[in-house]
This record gives sequence, C-alpha cells and structure tokens, in this order.
Amino acid sequence: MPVEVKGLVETKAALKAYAPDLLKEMNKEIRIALKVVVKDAQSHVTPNVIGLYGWQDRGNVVKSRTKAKTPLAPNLRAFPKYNPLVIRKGLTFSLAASRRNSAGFVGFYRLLNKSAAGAIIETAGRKNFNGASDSQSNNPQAGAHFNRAIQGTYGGFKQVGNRREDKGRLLFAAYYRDQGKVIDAVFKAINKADSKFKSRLGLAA
Amino acid sequence: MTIDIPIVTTYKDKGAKAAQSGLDKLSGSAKKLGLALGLALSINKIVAFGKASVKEFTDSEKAAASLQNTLKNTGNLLAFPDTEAGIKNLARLSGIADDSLIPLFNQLYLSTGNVGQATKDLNTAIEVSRGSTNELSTVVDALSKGYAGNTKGLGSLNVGLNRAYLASADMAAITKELNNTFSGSSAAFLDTYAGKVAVLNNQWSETKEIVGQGLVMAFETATGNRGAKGMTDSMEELGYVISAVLIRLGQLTSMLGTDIPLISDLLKRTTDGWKFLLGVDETRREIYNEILRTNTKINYEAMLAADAQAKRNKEYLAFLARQRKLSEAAAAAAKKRADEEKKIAAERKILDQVGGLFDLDQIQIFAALQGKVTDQEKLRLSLQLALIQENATEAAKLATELVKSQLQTTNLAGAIAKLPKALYPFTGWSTDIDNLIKQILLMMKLLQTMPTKPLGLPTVGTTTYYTDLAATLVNTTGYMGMTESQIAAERFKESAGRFAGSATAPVTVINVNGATQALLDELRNGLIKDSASGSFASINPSSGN
Repeated sequence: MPVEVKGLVETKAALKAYAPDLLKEMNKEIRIALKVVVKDAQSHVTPNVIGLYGWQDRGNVVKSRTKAKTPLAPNLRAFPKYNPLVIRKGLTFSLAASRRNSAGFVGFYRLLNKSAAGAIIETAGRKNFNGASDSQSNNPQAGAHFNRAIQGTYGGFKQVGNRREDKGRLLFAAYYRDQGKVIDAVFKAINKADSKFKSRLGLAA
Repeated sequence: MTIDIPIVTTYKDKGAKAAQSGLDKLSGSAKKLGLALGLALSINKIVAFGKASVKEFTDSEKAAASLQNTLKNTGNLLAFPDTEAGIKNLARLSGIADDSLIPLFNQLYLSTGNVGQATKDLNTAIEVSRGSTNELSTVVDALSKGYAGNTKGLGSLNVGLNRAYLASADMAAITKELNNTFSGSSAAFLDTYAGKVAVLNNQWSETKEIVGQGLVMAFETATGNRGAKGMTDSMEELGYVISAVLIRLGQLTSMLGTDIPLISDLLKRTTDGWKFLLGVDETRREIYNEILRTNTKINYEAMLAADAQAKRNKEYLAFLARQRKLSEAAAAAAKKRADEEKKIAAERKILDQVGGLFDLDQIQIFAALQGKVTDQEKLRLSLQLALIQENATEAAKLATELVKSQLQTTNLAGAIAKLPKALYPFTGWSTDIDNLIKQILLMMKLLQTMPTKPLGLPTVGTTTYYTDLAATLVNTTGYMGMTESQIAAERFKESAGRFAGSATAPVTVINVNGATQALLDELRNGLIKDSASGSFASINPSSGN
C-alpha cells in the first residue's frame, strides 16, 4: 500500500538545510493533498450508528465495566462512546516521520485516525466479523451485532493493501476512494521541490 | 490505538545494527567464547566460523561504507580515513565493535555536523553508558536529540540532569557535566571481568573481520580471471586450506591469556612456526596493502568528490552573487524611477503655481477679493481659489467656515422671513389732515364771529370758572352788594387768573389707528412664536448680522 522511496530523508535534510523555502512549499502542497482524503473521511462520519443507540455519547461520565481501578492502574479507560465530533477531530494527517517499525521502515506523510471511537468504526470486525468463535461472554452474539450495526451504517471494509490490516471503513475507505491521487500529488510535490533545488544549485534536474 | 496509513515509507537501518551488536554481545560472553573456540575444532563449526568471519568482514565493510557515504554527502569525505581509524581505536579501547559504533557516530555527526565533536560525544556516550544502566544507543539517541533542542531523552536517562538544568543549559554545558560525572566509567568497567571479556569479544570480532577479509581475498585470488567457475573448481581444495588455517587459529586463540611461561613460550614458538609455514606475515602484508589500496582509492574519490563539491559550491555562490546583483540593480532602478517621479511631481507643482498667475478664474477671484465684499462672499471666493489651486487643507478649512457662516445667515433670514408684514404707520393720515384743516377753518370762522371783550376780564369760555364761582358768591359774606361780574373780577384778580384756563393751548391727538403699538406687538409675538417652535432667531448684535 505505501510506496517506498529512497533518498527522501536526504532530500528533506538537504532542503531543510539549504532551501527551507522549497521545503515549506513542498509541505504546503502535500498538506493540501492529504487534506482532501481527511475531509472526505470526515464527511462520512454519521451522527449516530443505527441500532447502537446505547453507544451514543450523551455527555455522561462512563466508568469501565470490565476492570476496577487499582493503585497500579488508576486511570482505566471505559469503552469509548460514539461521538461524531470526536471522531471527526481525530481524523487528521501528519507530515512527521513515524517510529521505525519492526521491519525497519519509517512512514512519512501519514493519514491518521486518532480517536478511539474512530478506530473502532474503522476496524471493528476486521478479524472476527461474526464474533470470536471461542467467546466466553454471556452474550456471545454481542460482537456480531455490534459489527453488523456499524457495517449497516458505514458500509463494508475497503481494502487498500494485501494484508488484513490494510482495510477499514472510514479513513481506509477514503483512501480507497481517492484512487491513488494523493500519492501522485505527494510525489509531484517532492519531485517539484527536488527539481527546483537542483536547478537552483545549477545541477541537471 | 491510532490508525496510521503511511503514504510514503523509506527504509531506515539505524538501530538494526545496534540490535545485531547486542545479540553478538549476548553470544560473546566468556563461556560462549570458550565454547565457540572449543567447538571450532569440528568441521561444521569451522565452516560456521568461516561464514561468521566473512559476515564480520562484510558488516564492518558495510558500516565503513555507511560512514564514508555520510561524510561524502556532507562534503567531508576527506575526513573519512582519520575518522574510521579513530572509531576503530575507540572500539579497541572500549571493547565495543566498530561496526556498531559507526552508526552511532553517524547519528551524532548528523546532529553536530562536526567530526571532532561527534567523536567526543561518542566517547562521552560510552562513558555514560558504562557508568549508568542505559544502553549506548539510548544515550547517543538522547544526545543527538539534545542537539536538536529536545532534551526529554537526556532527562529520562536519569543521570542527574534535572529538567530545569536541561531547559537552561546548552549542549556544551550538558556534555561537560556528563563528562565530569562519568569520566573514567569506561576504564573502570574494563577493569572488571565483564569488561575484559567485552574487550576480548571485540578483539575476536576484529580477528574474524581480518580472517573474513583474508577469505574474501582468497576467493578473489582463487577465482582469478576464470570467474565463478574457477572458484568452484578449486573450492574443495581451498576449503581444506581455510579449514587448516581456522583450526590453527582457533587452537592458538584458545591458549591466549594463559600465564604459564612454558605454554606461552610454546605458543610463541608454535605461532612463529605456523607464521613461517603459512606465510602469515605475507598475508598480513597483503591485507595491509589491500587496506592501503582501498584507502588510497577512497582518498582519490574523496578528492574528486571534494573538487566536484567545490565546483558546485562555486557555481552556487556565483548564482547567488548574480541574483544579488540583479536584485540590487532592480532596487537601484526602482529608486531612480521613484526619484524621477518625485522630481517631476515637484516641477509640475511649481509650474501649476506659476501658471495659476495667468489663470482667468484665479484672476477674477483676486479681482473680486480686492473689491468690497461681505465676509461670507470673501470666504466663498477664498474657497473657490483654494479649490482651483488644489489646496485641500485650506479648502477644507474654508469650507467649514463657510458652512458656519451660511448657517448663521440662513437662521437670521429665516427668522426675518417669519416676521409678520409691518403695517403702514401713516395709513389714514390724509383723512385726518383734511378733518384737521376743516376744524381749523371752522375755528377760524368762529373766531371771526366772536365779540370783542374788555381787557383784564377773562374771556368767554376761558373764565367759566370765575363766573360760576361769582354766581355762587352773590350776597354772601364779604361780597354783599357786589354783582356777579364784580365778584368774578375780584376772584380773577386775587387768583391772578390761575384758573382761567386760557394759557393752555389745545392739543390735537392724532389717531394713527394704533399702528406703532401693533407693529411692536406683532414683532414680539413673532419672536415668541419662533422661540416656542424651537427655531431661535439669533441676532448678533456686534456684527449686525
């Protein structure tokens, strides 16, 4: 799904050191491209999830139902409520480099879904859509009901890569609908800055 | 959990080397070292050792290439041989593999931009790492982030640097403080058993590197001009040769460090013998020559790269100079143009002022001002003159004064306009004069018919008082025997004719139908009405307006 490039770190470092105006211009163009996808995702956040009225955030303080506070874990979070404002706010992007993953790759220009409820909308049922087969719950169908309700409101997963993790309903779906235009725009901005920098140095573009 | 979709990724091997080095350290304890040496006697382990040696060599070469590339990209390639030698020396002294030090050095070098400072900081990091429980990579990471202004990592090292100090101090002070605190930690560590093992382990890695380089060179020699086929043909024979070398090397290395003189002497003799038999000195010389050749090649490439970089720098500086020159020329042209425009505007203003002398409109206004004009007209003419001369300040001032004057005049005119029409005071006078003339004529006529009276007696009409009085006094005390006329004469004489009334002239009261009084009343009523309606008729007594 993501495209691996070589020399981007060096290009950015060179731009930062010798042509910060070009780096600024490049980042500006990339921001515009990323914002298109983010706005699309934000526009698809619905006011509520049909069939999950109890999940709606009504401003009440919610306590964790699964664990009690202990001195070692005094800040247990409850299951997050569905709040469209929070979800929209969590849909954003970043131009900062991510931490190196276990395979040694670092991500640049990332689309982010930061809120907990947004992550649930994105991924609920991605592994076991019909609920876990080994569920020990008193209501083993609850998971399936939850997933189907979200599916009914937001539609199915959109696959953007080969892995199971490369699919989702909100941000992944927006990225899927974008059909690679954001990648083109990002590379266009990088190449443009690179060419300008080289021409400024008197080197062949 | 944050869902993260990276649009662009890049591979970064920073840290992978550190992890690999950590694994090597784990397997490089004294026990494992001895075990490795012991097991090296088996053929399988010999092959494994050969692989490990080649791997050590290739890893070291990769690290060196990475260092070379970093220095080359930053225009500092000439410093590569000295830097590499310095890092290898630091590795020997600290017992840390050079191929794990090089990435850390790279990181520090990119943060500081200075080879000397990066070497010092790497040394400091080793001291801090040895003197605390922090990993070397963690310390280097914290230092490099510190140079970028992020001192959070330095604070989390728990080495006595509090947040307030980190916020106020610069990196020079921080590294000095770390040196003061942890100086000698590495030496103290190397005095321990673990430290000695680390040095041995590192030296063993270096040995493997040398062997690996020898193996690679041997393969290259064996291959010659025949390529991979030639190497395949001689592979079996070469394998035995390498095995023999490795076995002997393992045996010799396993006996290193023994304090028994007999064994040491035997070892020395054996080593010398093997050296002679195997041509170790020659091999060493070849390796050194190869290193020398490589370094010479690197130096040559560095020189070329430096020349190219210098050329690019020169071109860029020339480009900047051209740009600056163009900018300065543009600024000078703009200034010149602005000055010319200013000059033209000033000249035009003078011409306008002079030309104004022959302007008919202005001449007429000046002529009008010479004559007798009211204040308001003077204001109006002055305002017209200011407008013609385009004197905005004066025009605004005069316009304000004119408006004030107009308002005053307009109010007075309004008040006067509201006064009722004054009545004609001589209306009916002709009739009255005619009547008067008629009366005079009648009087004259009556006078002409009047009888002549004796002197001293009151005239008729004028002595009625005395006559009436005499009539009442007839036959009264004091007037006995006197007639009315005698009594009247007596009383007239005594009162000196005071009550005769003939001295008073008749006054003619002319009726003018109350016109004057009515005019005043109307004027008063008009003023009162104006006041009541809120429209005051203000009259300036001083100016008469």
